[in-house]
Amino acid sequence: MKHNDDKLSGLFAVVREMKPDTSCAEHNFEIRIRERLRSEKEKQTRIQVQIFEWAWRLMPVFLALVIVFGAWRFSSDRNYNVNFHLLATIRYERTILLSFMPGV
Amino acid sequence: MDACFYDLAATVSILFSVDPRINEISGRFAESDDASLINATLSGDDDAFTELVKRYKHKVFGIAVRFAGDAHELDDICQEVFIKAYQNLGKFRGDAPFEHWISRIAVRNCYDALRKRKQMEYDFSFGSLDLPIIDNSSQKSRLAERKYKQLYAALEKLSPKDKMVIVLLELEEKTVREVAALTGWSETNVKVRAFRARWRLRKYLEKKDET
Repeated sequence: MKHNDDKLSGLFAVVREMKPDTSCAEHNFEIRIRERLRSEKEKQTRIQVQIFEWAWRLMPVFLALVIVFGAWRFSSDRNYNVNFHLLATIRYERTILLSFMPGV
Repeated sequence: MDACFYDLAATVSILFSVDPRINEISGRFAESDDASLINATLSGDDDAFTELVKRYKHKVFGIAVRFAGDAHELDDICQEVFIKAYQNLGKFRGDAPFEHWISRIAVRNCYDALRKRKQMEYDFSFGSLDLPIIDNSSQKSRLAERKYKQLYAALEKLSPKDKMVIVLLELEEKTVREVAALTGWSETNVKVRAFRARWRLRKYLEKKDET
């Protein structure tokens, strides 16, 4: 076990000393990041523009929906006839009933 | 092959696409500290962020190179680290140095890359990263390279968390507390995981020796 521990520690020591050279990969990395950021921003803007474009294209549909909804509300309002006479009668009868019950 | 590609890419970029603005930016922000660069980035100055990238790219590459399978993965990881840093710069509170914050992002990205690689069962190919410049004619360096490959082959058999803890503790020589801070695990968790990972490595190397 001790032998294996030493072997493992030896391996670690050797690999610790051997760090791969990254200078090639680091070369012009800032430029790549700048380009990537620019493309990410463009993508973001493109998405926003697309959302706006679609909203604009769907505008007639929204308009049609509003018109249909308005027409439906208007027609349903017209069918709803309030019978004021009936309402007044009901209110009057309730008043009589409420007066009668306590014995007024 | 990748090493050649990167040499070629570097040469081409030196000849044709060196952005003179990079030197200009360095000159402009030479006296600025990290806090003012962060504030400038947050107020929309991308040049300030370029200067931050220039200052910390070596640190990020140094962490990622221990985990990346090849040069392309290394570049992807490092780009992702800086993009995440840029997107979350507003969340940087400034109670710890920027270097620690970016290191934490780098470690978490490396962990994600390891997990992704494990899920895809990606075959790790040695030699795709530039090893340190060593004289291959000497027997000592050949032995060192063999040991390097032997250890990395063994590390590939470990789970992403085990590999992470071994690399940070044994190869990067971080303390348990530093590893805990970088990974977000508790110190006890780091110690237990390191013990188990070492045990698994030993077992794997024993088995390898027997065959």
